Amino acid sequence: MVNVWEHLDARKEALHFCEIHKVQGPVLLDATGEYIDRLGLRGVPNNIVVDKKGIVQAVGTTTPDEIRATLTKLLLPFG
Amino acid sequence: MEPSDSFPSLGAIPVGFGPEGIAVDAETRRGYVACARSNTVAVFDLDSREVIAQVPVGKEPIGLVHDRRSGRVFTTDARSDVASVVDTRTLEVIKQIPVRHYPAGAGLYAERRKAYVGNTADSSVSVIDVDTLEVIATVPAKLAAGSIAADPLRDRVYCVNFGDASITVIDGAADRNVGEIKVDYAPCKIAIDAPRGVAYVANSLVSTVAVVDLERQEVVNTVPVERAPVGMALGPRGDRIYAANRGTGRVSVIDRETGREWARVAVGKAPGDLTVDATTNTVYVSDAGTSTVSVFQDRLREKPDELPKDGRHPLVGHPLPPFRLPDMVDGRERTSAEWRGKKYILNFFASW
Repeated sequence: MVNVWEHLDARKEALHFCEIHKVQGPVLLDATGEYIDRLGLRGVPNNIVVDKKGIVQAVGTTTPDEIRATLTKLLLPFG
Repeated sequence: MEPSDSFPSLGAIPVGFGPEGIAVDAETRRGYVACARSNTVAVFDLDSREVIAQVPVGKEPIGLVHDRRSGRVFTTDARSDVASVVDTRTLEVIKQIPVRHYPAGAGLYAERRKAYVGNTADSSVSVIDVDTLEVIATVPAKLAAGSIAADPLRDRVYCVNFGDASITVIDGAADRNVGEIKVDYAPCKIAIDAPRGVAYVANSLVSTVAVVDLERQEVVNTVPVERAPVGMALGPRGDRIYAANRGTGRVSVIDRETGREWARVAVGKAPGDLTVDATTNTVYVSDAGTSTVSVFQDRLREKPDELPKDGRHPLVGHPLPPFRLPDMVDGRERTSAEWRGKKYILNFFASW
């Protein structure tokens, strides 16, 4: 997960948020939004689905239906 | 007509970090926005579009309402558990009213002289007398009570419960909980069109706007919008609704009659709340990602020839640009090379 656009005290704010929402797994900080800007994304939340070859398979995919459909496709053995 | 002709941009006003709740007063030509990360209310001039004052309030102001009659602005300061009251003539805080835990939502019922605070971590609504500035009642609501709006014609007040997929209905006179209406997941914001007897509720997680019939007290239509709508306002002519899509940095302009999206207007990054100056058809949007208020005019008269379509993002089918970013826990740099050869999802989120 990447925490974005937290211009002041990014680490403290992200830790606080992740504690309240019980976020697990690695969290990276993109405080200025430099990386998300480079991807041409203009909002949150956003998910980018990446395959084994590093190719982007989907962008956006934030509603429960979209996530389910994308994961089903991605988790197919030869997908 | 191209969207830029129908919705000319009037620029973006730098206001402070984490702008959220916003209101404008067409008469005095001033706008007010709660800056949740600067702990201020930024006051701006609607015509020069410049900030004229930063009024310090409590920690993390999120909700904001303006009461024209008393000339007061109320903010809900989530990390201070208070509602701050700003006198808009002196631009000073005249009182901080203790409410319950993590107040994040605000609403106003001007006719009854009441302001409402959604206590998100307390599942309740505090009712404040806007003239005496006292809490006169605390009404039980549901998990993560937030945005609030009043229906003066039916004397009801509605509070959306983000964590419960419901709206709490409050009796405007008696300040009593009189029931709940079920809606879709994660309702974020409510706007009421009292003359037509409907409420619009932005469901951020499922990217829809629910239309609630205020007589029948139930959802009668669900309108898909672009992605993650969190802010909403009614257009001045009553024929359209605006929804700010936090997920895409655009405002959906929705036709009231058909529920179709007429247009998507690009604003700043990760927009939150929005409001309209009805005298000039100008829309003001708080952009939490860019720390600005985006301003655009709505000159669209009727249904446009072309409606917006969902296109494929240009990144799809291409390699993910490499990243090198610090880890939240220990600050060490981590790069995309670490995930090489794996299937993964990169989730982007904000902590506001």
